[in-house]
Amino acid sequence: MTFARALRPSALAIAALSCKPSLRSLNEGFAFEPGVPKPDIVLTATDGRPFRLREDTEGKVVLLYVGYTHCPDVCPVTMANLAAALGALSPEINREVRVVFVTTDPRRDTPPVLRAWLDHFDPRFVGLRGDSAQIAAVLQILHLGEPIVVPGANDTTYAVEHAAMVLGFTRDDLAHVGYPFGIRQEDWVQNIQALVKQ
Amino acid sequence: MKLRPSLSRGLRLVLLTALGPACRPAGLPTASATVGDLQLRNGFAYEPITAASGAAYVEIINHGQVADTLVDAESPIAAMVMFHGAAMMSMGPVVIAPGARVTFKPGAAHIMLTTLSKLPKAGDSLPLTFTFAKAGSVTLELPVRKYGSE
Repeated sequence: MTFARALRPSALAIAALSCKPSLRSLNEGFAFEPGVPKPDIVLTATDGRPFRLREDTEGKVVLLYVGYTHCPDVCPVTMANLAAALGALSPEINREVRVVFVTTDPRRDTPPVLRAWLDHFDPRFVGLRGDSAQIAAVLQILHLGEPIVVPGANDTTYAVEHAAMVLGFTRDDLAHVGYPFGIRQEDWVQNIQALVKQ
Repeated sequence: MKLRPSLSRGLRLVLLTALGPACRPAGLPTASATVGDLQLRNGFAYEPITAASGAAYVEIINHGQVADTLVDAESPIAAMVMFHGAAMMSMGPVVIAPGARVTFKPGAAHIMLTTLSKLPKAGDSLPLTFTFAKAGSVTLELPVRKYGSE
């Protein structure tokens, strides 16, 4: 049961897609056709300004990840690998890419907390917050299921179960690919270049 | 039961995950120890970003003839240590069957440390004491590495 529950977010992310995903190759992620739409939603950036996900990333490749800063495992590993891959790529490629992190835990991920955590990886990473209805809407559009709050020993140590997948949006405002956890830095370098070339 | 199809899809993802950073010959330092019939190896921790939480990993192999149970883990620098499944579900005590191997690794089950009194840096070590029902306790000095260093 625990095992099945543990698998649920990833399984949901795949199973819930109306477009049938296929595995292209181990390190290239899952292909989604005809693609997952970039949510046309306004969230709040860490500087307090509204961030229009579509308009404010228009013409850019967007690597979108949904997580929370108290997550000690998949979230920081993913962010660190993306930062390292971008660091290995040219300024020209970097200019074309936006990494966007949407928190599922706006209560603890206040703007300063979220900003400081993202700065640890790359100060260019965009951190977005919203109320629970907005986050639920984003997750629904992305077919990432609902975040599930797992109570902790006290009121501040709860965990938030979530799907650990980076969605790669191209300039057509569609994600044709989703990257599961475990993509290596050198493969991220290849994957980001491929997204920019599309 | 309609669990099967999604489970097999999920399993495919888990297999993918299993081929991630953890099995690369990264050459990064790890800690190991033996206590009773149990072998602990590939132990390490990530450099925590904030005092809120940190993660540690280890592989435990039971070379004995009877099951043992990892009942607890403690660190002098963490208020609480928990065993978490891949999706942050608390696992509780972890049974290691005879001949079996339990693996905590990035993207899968991990050992979560919360409310840290100190933030160890890459190159430091983080002491973590594992307590087993039969084999007793053993402390590993887990080498600390940065996130993304694999």
